[in-house]
Amino acid sequence: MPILKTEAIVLRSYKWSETSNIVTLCSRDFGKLRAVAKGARRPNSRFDNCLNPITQSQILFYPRKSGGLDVLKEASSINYFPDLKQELEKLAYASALCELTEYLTPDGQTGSSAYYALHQTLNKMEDSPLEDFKKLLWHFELRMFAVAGYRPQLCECVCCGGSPKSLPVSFSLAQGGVLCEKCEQKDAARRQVHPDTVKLLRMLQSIEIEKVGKIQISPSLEREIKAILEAFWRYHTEEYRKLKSLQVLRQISRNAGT
Amino acid sequence: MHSSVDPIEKLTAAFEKLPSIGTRTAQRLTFYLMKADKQEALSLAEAITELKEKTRYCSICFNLTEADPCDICSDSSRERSIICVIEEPKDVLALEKTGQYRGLYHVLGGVLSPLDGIGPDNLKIRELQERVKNGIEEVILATSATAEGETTSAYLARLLHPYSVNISRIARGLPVGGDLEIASKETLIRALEERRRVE
Ligand SMILES: [Zn+2]
Ligand SMILES: [Zn+2]
Repeated sequence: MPILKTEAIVLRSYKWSETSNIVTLCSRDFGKLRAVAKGARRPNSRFDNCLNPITQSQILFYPRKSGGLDVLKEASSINYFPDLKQELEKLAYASALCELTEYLTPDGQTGSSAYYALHQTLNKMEDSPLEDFKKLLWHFELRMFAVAGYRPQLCECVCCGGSPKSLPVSFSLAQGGVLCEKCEQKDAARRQVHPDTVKLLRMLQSIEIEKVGKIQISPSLEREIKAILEAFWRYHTEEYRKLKSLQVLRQISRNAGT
Repeated sequence: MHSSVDPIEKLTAAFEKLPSIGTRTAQRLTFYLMKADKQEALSLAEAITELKEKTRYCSICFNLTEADPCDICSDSSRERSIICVIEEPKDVLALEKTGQYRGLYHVLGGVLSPLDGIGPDNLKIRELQERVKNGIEEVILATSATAEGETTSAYLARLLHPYSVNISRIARGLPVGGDLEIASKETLIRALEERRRVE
């Protein structure tokens, strides 16, 4: 059996048996992997801390035979992202990136864009102040929508290619994009959004990650961006409700408000 | 529909849900009980019933107990100004075995873990905050040496910082990634003695 080598970020790890874990990874060269790490639960295991969630590691593994699990042979860590684990809120954002990657990367897709998006965003979060995390998460969500195959169309009408009217803009959840005046009547699953929201989403969609922190967003637009991304999510995937880190983030912001 | 389920299958399925029990062990246990003396099998059932009916969580420290408050919380000879914060009731047993710690406890009921949906509201954190307001001088953070255990301790240290208490974290030397319960008695004693103040 050939042995394969790649870099990967651990998305999740759970108990498989008394001594072994199953680990979900986003790999650079082979897409999403589900692998068994034998002996990982033993004290002083050879995998040490390399397979904890939110860890970038180099891995050696035996690919699965049909229907089974990959088998990890070795792992050595490259980055633990320690700064993201010092503070609960930062950890919750980083965990959200991992969960989104797990749910949005199609099984069997071997492209490396999910890996690079995740890797870049975790790195960027590590040296960003907490107030930028929200924007980095949205930037990441938009990139992952593209990976999953529903990149929102934010310039021309998603239906006919015409130009959308100015105030307020209709956004089609079903078709994933803005609508012109002619087409909006035909779409039941549409949302009204402020044109500035569309402008900001468009900016987030095209901008380099380095510049995300510099974008200024007013609280009311923040609320709208959050709402429209969430609605879009919910429309396209059942998994949204299962995103546990976002529930914890909501808890934290609720507690901060009281 | 439920009553048509074969009792053997039903019991096997129930055993299988228990930690560290696979299908084969579950079957073995079921067949053992089938062959066992009726009295023996019924006393197991009774013990389970009693466990659920007579034990509850202490309303002060959230340890498992028969009486509320628990024996430790109502023991006047213990130092009432020190609280040791741990994850699970089994950690109380591990620390009590050392015979060295004479303060009180606070059982969180787990660790903070966003990936599992566990935030501050899912643990007994607000309750800890309330206790700390009332005459507590030292809080020892004794969550495990896992990534989540460290995040939880860091969160609590920050949360309790505004109160006038000394906050300390038990020393490393616990097995990496390990729970308190698998640490030896000597390691635990040393971890407690060498606890470091959190600034
Ligand atoms: Zn149109
Ligand atoms: Zn108690």
